[in-house]
Amino acid sequence: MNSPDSVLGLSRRRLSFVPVFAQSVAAIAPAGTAAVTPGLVIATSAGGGALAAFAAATVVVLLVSACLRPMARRMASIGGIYSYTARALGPYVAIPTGWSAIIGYGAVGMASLVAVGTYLTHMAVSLGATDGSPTTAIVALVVVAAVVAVLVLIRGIRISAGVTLAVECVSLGIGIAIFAWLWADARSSGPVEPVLTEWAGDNREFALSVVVAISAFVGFESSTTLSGEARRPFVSVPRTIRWTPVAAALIYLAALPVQALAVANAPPDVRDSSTPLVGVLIHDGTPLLAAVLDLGIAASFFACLLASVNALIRVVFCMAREGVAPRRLGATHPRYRTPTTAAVATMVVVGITPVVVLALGVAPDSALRALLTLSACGYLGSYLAACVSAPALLRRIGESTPGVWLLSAVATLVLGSLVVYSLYSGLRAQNWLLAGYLAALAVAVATTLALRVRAPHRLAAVGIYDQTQDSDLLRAVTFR
Amino acid sequence: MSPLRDPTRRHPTAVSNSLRIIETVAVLGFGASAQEIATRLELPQATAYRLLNNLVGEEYLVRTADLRGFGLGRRLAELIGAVSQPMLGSAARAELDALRGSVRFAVHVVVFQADALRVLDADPDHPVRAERELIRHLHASAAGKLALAARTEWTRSLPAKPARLTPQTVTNLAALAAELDEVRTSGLAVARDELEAGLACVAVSILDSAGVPAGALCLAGSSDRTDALLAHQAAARDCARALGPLLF
Repeated sequence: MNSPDSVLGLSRRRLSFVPVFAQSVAAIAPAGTAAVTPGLVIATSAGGGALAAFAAATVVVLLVSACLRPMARRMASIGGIYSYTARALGPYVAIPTGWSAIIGYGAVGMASLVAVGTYLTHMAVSLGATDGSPTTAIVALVVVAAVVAVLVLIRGIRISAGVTLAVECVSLGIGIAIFAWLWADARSSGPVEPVLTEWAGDNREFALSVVVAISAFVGFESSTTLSGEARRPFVSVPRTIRWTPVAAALIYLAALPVQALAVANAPPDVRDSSTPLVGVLIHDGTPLLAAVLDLGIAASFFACLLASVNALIRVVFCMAREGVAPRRLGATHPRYRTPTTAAVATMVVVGITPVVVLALGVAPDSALRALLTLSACGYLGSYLAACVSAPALLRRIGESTPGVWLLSAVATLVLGSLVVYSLYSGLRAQNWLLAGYLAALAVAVATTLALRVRAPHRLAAVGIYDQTQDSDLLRAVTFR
Repeated sequence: MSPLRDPTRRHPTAVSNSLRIIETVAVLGFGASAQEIATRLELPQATAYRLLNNLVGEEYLVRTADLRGFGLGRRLAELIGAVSQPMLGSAARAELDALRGSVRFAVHVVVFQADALRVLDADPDHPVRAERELIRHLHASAAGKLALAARTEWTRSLPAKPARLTPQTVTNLAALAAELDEVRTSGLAVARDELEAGLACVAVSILDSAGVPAGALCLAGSSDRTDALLAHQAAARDCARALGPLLF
């Protein structure tokens, strides 16, 4: 059932630490996110509330990270959280968790494509060349980005990891330069303290702000899908999971006050726009800087697209090899040793959806917001499963400790109540995307139950991972 | 003596406990569980789990397929290979002497280790040239190429950037992969001026009882006499075939 050959075809133990780290960093897309998400939180909770929301989100994410690490130290997962859950809690929990992760990675991939198209065309607006971004131009850029991405993904994660890290460094550099300039500019135009202590909204809105802030960290766990391909995975993957959320938190907590200040000093029409930060720069008469910021954000989202789909295709590959997804999707490239079929099939879906949505006349920024909400649902659902899985997996292999149970209980309680609460208030506010997400999970459960009746052996195969191979063992040299 | 200055306490405990864990896995055999190990060493469970996971992370130990048990990892191979004494029986020596008497080149026997070679028997009349490089740089010698060709994950036995020992050394992984494909089909590897300028080596595999290459028989000489070296390949193959059951 689970043989050492079950994930054969992927490259094995080849990736050094840097690409593994790059995978998680790029999936978070700290540069692009730092320019976008704090603005959303500031809009609901004001400067002080936003700082508190980000601090709380950091704590929650560190709890999730602490639950993931003991599993990443013990098991070379190919499907990330899906595979951990499969080993810990069995297929009935794992398959819906896998779907949730697929929705998370897929929706963020689609959102990234929309963002790449939007921000690249917005460069022309920032420079004053045109008044608005024509949808056809955005769609064309989405298609080009999707094609480039699929080629990079097939060529292999080492190349794509190199590209993603380079792109992320460049956009982070641009971001830091612009934030420094904004900070200097904003400090001269008004007092700092009131902006950072101002608190808007009630507890209900604060809880939702925390969830939005958590969505700025999602993707940090994606390096777990490279465990089979990484060199010394039981060291490099846990290390990545430990430090990427910390680094992201530092970036956000530095970027947030700057934005709060810049936006507070801006006129109301800029403050209420969908891209307040770019608006501030245009308003301040620095269109070139605004265009550079556009480029940086677009680059960061392109890296995010690569990283998210890179993780996504490995979950799909894993399911295909187990037989719970079409077997064909488990094919690999003979030379590059990447899941080719899964990459192409996934990218077709991830590429076509935003094109259709935009062609139907949905405004790019509402499409972006909807896709990011959907992805946040997917990620949070899989994180919740990860928190529950940690002690269960350790118990199954006979290594559980009271500490892990306590950690899991706290993490599950905190994250669970946030998820349930935001789902509840989202549904009450008639956010049908959330209903769609819940419906997808229901379909996943139904599919799993159908499999139990029609092909129970496939469910029994769920939980494949990169097992110890003969070549990992000590083969004693015998002399006579 | 204060605990701070007692060298047997504090930091060394983690190191010595790690070594004791490796020892225990060796004694208990493949599949020893974390709890068995902790009990046997009278270590607190959390400490045992932490040290075990560190050792797995460093690949000194590996986990079994059900993740519950542990076994010795390939990384220990060098440690063990370094202390085991090579020995050659009289039957094997007779085979080698016959070949050495019939060719005017150096005839050496090497065995494959995890990521290195080990000279099992050097030609008494011709010293092993460039021995340091031979045992370390698998991509640069004929015997090393046979060792790499025998592995599916051969790139793991090489550093990310294999060393360029001479201008002729093949350091490009794609070119090396193509050459290893040829080695697999012909069963013969050649390295000319790749390990050391002026040195040529021709090698054939010695198979173990399972038919897996476990060592190599090498003929070495001056690189302008490579053709003469290759002319002896049939004799070398016969000798290697005879050595297999005698050595492994």
